[in-house]
Amino acid sequence: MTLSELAAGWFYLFFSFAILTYLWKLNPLYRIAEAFSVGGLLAHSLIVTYGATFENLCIFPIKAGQWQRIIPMIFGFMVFFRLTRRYAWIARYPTCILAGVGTGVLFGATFDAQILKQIGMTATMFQKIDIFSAIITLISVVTVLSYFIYTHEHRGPLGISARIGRVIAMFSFGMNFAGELIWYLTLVVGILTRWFDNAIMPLLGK
Amino acid sequence: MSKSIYEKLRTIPDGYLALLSFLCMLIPILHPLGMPLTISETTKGFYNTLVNLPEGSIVMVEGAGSLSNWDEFEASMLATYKLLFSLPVKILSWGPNTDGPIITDMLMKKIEPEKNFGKVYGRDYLILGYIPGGEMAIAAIAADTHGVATKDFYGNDLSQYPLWDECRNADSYAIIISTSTSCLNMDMQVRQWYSIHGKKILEINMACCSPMSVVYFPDIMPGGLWGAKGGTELEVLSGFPGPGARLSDASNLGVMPFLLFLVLANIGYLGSKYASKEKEEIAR
Repeated sequence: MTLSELAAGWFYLFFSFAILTYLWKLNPLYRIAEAFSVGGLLAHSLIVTYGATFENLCIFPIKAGQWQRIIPMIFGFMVFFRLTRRYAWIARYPTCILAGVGTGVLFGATFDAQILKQIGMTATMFQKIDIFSAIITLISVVTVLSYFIYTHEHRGPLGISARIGRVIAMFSFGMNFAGELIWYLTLVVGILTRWFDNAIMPLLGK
Repeated sequence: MSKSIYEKLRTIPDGYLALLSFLCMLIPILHPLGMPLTISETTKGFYNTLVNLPEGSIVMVEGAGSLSNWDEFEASMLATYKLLFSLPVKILSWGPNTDGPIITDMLMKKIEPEKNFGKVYGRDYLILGYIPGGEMAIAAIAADTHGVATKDFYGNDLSQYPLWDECRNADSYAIIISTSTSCLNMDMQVRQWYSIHGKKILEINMACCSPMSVVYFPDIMPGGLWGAKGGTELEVLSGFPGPGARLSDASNLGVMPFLLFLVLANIGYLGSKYASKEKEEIAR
């Protein structure tokens, strides 16, 4: 391991430890690490976005003769009018275009992807997965949906179904939280692994 | 009045839980254990989809993994890229976020595709940079890939690469591999790739996102890898060992104290409930 790699390891150890000190209380060490992190990320994002958006999508294509790209570039610059009080209204035009295009791109396929396809897959799942899983899925879908029927009092068969649905929904949320716990633990393991592999063990000569 | 055993079980300070979990996690970090592993259907689907791709297919990799969640992705992405490089397929990678292409570059430096797999940059694989726009960028790439980039991640003109000529629109890609840190990622991918262009998607995401994505399995999403565990499973299936085993062993052991404390707290809860009922009956 080179000296620079070892230094990088200790740099990582120092900053990750400084961030973790927040668990104790807000302190100057944490604030230093936080400022470094936010500043570094902002600088990185700014440089990458400049290169990816301004150079790659505007300057280079325009130089190559795609003059029509000047129009979106002008719309992009119009956003900066937001910084002035008098001409701030100009910034509304690119914002509207962006919101309109975004909604159009999103809305067109949402119904098909998130409603029709999922209904279709649920209806035909008996052919694709084992019968036990298929039955559980079917019961879950019906009972959880019945839990969200608010136009009828939850009594009788609907009440039983809604109660089962609530338990199944809780199972699902529990599974989500379990996944989240694993996620946090994996990140802690990653931090510890790097502490040992890149900072502590090399100092011990291992 | 002294606390009953049940009360004590219910009120164990959470600091003990954290300390115990921390100690459990240290064991596999210092000494790998090689705990047994069952391979899930979704990982099998992921592997089978890739190995059954026709020769010369182009795989699009959307690298939106984040450096802040690197440990959740590293094993999955390393194993996926190694598997892809071992197959006769081509790879086009791009980043829907600013971290994405940096991660891909880091992975390439680790994997060394030229040296270890005989792959040639520009002919067998290509790394585009960050393409802004989120879902709109995906829609644009699917409609006209050449319209969204002129230079690759390293600032070189894309027109010089033969692979770039083959990457025209959604029809050029055999499968999409989407990495993301968003649990709503699959909804977006399905909207843009499957509903409009009929392309199937493989997902690499964080462990907590699997319940949201798995609804698309197996029709739209033939497979997926979630968290370090997913990566470890692919490492085992593909025969390319990586960092996953150590990570998932450590996080699995780290969970054990949580399970133990969950059981203890419930014994405490049920016990104190039973004890208070008994007291009430005696008082009557």
